Amino acid sequence: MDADSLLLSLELASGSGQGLSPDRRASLLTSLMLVKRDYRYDRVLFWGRILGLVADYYIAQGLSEDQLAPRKTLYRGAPLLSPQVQIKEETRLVSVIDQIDKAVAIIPRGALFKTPFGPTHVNRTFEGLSLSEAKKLSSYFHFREPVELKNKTLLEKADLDPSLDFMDSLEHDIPKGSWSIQMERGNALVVLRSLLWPGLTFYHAPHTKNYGYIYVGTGEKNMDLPFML
Amino acid sequence: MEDSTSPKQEKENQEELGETRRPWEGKTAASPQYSEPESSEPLEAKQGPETGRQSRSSRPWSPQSRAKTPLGGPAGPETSSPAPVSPREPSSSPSPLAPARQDLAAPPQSDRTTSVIPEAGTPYPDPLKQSSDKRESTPHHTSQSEGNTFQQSQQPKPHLCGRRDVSYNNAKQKELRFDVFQEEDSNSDYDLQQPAPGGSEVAPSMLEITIQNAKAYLLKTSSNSGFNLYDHLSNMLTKILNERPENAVDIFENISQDVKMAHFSKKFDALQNENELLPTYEIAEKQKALFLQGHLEGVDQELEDEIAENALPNVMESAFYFEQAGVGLGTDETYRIFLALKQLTDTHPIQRCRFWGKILGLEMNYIVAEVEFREGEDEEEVEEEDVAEERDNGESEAHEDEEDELPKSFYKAPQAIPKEESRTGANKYVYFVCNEPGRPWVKLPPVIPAQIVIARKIKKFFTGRLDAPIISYPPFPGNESNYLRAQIARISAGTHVSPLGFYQFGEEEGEEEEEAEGGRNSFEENPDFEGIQVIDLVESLSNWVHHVQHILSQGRCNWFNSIQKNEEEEEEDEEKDDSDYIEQERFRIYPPGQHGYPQISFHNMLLQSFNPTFGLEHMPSPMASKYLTTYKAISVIS
Repeated sequence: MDADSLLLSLELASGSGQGLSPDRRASLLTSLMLVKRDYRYDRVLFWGRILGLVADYYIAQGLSEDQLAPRKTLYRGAPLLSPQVQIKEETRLVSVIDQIDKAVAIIPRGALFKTPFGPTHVNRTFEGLSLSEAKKLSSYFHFREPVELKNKTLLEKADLDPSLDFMDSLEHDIPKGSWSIQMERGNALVVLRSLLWPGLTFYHAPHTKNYGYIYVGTGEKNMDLPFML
Repeated sequence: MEDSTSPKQEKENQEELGETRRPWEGKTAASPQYSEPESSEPLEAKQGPETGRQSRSSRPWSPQSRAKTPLGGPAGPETSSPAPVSPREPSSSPSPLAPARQDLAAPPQSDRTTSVIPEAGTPYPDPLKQSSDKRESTPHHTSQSEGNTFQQSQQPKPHLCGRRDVSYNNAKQKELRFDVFQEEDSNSDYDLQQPAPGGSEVAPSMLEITIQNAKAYLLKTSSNSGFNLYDHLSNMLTKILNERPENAVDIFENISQDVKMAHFSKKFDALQNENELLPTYEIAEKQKALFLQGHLEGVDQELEDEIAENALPNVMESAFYFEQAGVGLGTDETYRIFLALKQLTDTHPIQRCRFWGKILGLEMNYIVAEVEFREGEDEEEVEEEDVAEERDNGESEAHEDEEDELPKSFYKAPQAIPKEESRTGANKYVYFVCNEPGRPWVKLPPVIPAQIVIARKIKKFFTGRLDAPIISYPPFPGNESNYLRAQIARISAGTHVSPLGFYQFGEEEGEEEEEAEGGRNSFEENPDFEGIQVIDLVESLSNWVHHVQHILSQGRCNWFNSIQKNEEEEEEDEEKDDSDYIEQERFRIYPPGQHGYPQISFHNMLLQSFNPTFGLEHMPSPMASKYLTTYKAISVIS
């Protein structure tokens, strides 16, 4: 979620039960600002929190102007050197974050648009999804380079708008049903939770520009997903 | 500077020029009226020499002594202030943008457009243009800064027009800028269709025809979408000037798309609004009822307070502490849950109530409340199990009556372990769930041991609907409400902890052996508890204890020996009491069947009887003591 709207976003994503304590929130605000200044990022996202046995990691990501460019990930926490395993925990942490990002980081349709020159930009005229759109999985895209777009048939491609539909939508995620989509507070908030990576919560308030995602969890993939559905 | 003077110019023009001026002044930016000024141009052109010229030339307000460009070309030099013009000529002549110069003339001279435009028109002779250059040089200097911005911002505008006719192009540009400039001044609606009064008097000139052709082209409806460019451009400019976004030129294409999309969606406005907002309103209504219900009941305040203190937990306070730990649901949701709990306590005879937690589901979530009813006020459960048992017995009898052709199976399924009584063991508390605060609370059925045993083996998501079936292997006996209840029981038994000494057992009730169903299951808060240091609590786990009974692998908290029932059945066959006693003891060791171990032969059973530790691994230590004694007794005897 954007560092600028951190407090609001945390309140909206709190339905999952995992949040941040007030002191953490306050310190996060300031540290995210500092990160933004020092690294000169265009946007800084608070990615989430990975729970560990002894302590937790707080992860932030920085985005440059081109939204789809590879992101820099920063963490704060105490990496342990676990004696049993050969891998450094830091490496494992980075790979987990990368996996989660590639798998379940999502964006509503229309929030980014692609210019003919290549780089993607934040769409300043994005006014939020409508209610009927918000309930459909096809209105959300994976926030990463598209993988399945080329496999679409020509008929499907004809319906796409090349400036908006340049990422994979959630509709074709395998296994089907790996996303739980719910409306909270009446119809004022739509919350998507990933069942493949439990702990990833995405929220969006329809008809507004507010959206964001946060991961709070142990960093474990739910391999039992097909059996649990 | 320029802005301030142009309104003044406007007003003065209005007064002096009369009606012909009105269409232009009334323009908002929303409607770049290309054609209109042009249509009135010829009028102006005609009228200019008659009336406007002199009036315009005599502008007392013009401090910059702008030269009024008369409509007639030769009238140029007659302008009121030729002197200031000439010295500026050379300086302005190197102006690089030829069309731009003429463009520049338009914005600062809102009142002059009438005169300038016809100059730009092709039918006018060149001298006029030269004079117009001169005129423009003046405003060029006077409005340098603004003109530049206009220049730059309006560079792309020519692309819009796409006219090959340069002069016409220029004319349109000027009108556009004139419109843009003027919209700040006046807010009156512009009537597109309003013809310039007096226009009928004018014979159609070349310019007019060109203009009308252009307008007709713009108004041509697209065969694809039913739009026309004229309306689209006017809508877009309206939107831009209303919203005033930053760097509008960068997002111009997006705005264009949005306007087109908005045109479509408007048709379904009425329907969509109804549908989408209804559920929102419904939930809001229900939650409003939540907020109101506290005030409606004005019954015995004292009585209510007493009960309320006991029954209702301080959810907000606990939420505060949880928030410090980073766990929580958000303040307003917690408050709504508190109100819903209050509603629950008001409608049911509840001794004690606690917010147990929230379970996330696929379609909907569950909010769970742990409740203890007042003494003797338990709601009776439908005795479904007894019915089932009777049915089973009936079936087995029916089988026995069949002819003995087929080999009969001697297998008797191990008898189902009965559930624990209410208020004991896993059924100590009653649980209520609802999907959202404001929705009605639903009571969950008590849990039976078989459900817990199976729940330990499967892993399924909750959908959010209590009547959903659970399809799994091993098959779960029940639907989602049973599975939910079983999971709640398991979670409570496994994770509800408290610091050592916080709770203490109630008064000792006689000897342990007399208690058939594992005693010491009632605890209460220890009034003498003084708290433990945080350091101690954090460093080791020995200061924490479970205060909920552990659920045995049997699925119950209190050991149920189903062999006892078998003993009663076998009593009929037994003759001697001694042998009975021995048999009983042997059967008592038979519990492996209850643990899920494979059935063993009678011989092995005896062998196992010597193992005093047999079966103890599954029992918590307070229970073990009781059975140790019995096992020891067994080994002695046999």
